[in-house]
Amino acid sequence: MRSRRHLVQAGAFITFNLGINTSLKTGIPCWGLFCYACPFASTACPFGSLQHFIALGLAPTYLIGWLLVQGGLLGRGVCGWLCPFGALQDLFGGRKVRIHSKLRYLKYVNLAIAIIATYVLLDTAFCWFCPSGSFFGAVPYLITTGGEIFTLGIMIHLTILALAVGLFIMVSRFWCRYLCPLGAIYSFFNRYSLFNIKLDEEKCKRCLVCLESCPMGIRKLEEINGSDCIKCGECVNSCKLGALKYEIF
Amino acid sequence: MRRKLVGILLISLGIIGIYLSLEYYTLVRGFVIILCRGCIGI
Repeated sequence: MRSRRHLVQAGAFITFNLGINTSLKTGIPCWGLFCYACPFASTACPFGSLQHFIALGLAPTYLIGWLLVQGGLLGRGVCGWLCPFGALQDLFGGRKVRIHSKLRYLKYVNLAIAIIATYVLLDTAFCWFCPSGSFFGAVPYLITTGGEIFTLGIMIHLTILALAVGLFIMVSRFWCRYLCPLGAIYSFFNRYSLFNIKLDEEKCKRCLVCLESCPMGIRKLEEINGSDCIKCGECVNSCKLGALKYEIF
Repeated sequence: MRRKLVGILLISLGIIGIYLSLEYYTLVRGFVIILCRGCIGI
């Protein structure tokens, strides 16, 4: 299951980078947090586009429509299976410590601040500090331009990136757990999405091995499919009793 | 089952939302083609 997920993540990453050919640069929002400032991006970051719509004073119905479709189909499964920034964090591994019960709400605060700041400043305020933008936007831009333009903004991005990498190594899926505003949006749909993990109560012996393998550090069985579950399937893999399985529709 | 029905309702609403505002497709495509200055820090 794990290798299948990594294969899907790699496939998604390639698909989102087909924009190396300009004709393949689409107006379709990406499934996950992926910076469309990347010179190779073929899709638009849903959160970046949402900010653009707010800054332009337009009702973001197109974006909300896409978010409803993505959320209704996968919920936070987008984070676990498709998001390129999530895949990057998987590469760093990180210690699977338990999720902090209060800090998990930071992502909702981040979401609210980002939207309010965009509305007030009329610019994509969150993108100035987005580590996904740092990795998928600023770094490829620096490489493709040969580092000709090196501004304060780029330096801020590189600093954020270094800090983020450190945090990813210390805590698995740190960004997804505590800070991702897009993850916060998907989390509202998580319990209602068609793609879910099902717990068979009769087979489960409450050994909680599944929770030890969770990269999001979920603490209780009841929180599987909850707002912090990214449906990555590590719990499904680790359960030797077969009490957990994927349920599609 | 009720949750799944809510999920289907959300997806249906989403498809309707996309369909009704499809003219924004070109706008979003514009975002993708023009590099986001904030993201790359210039």
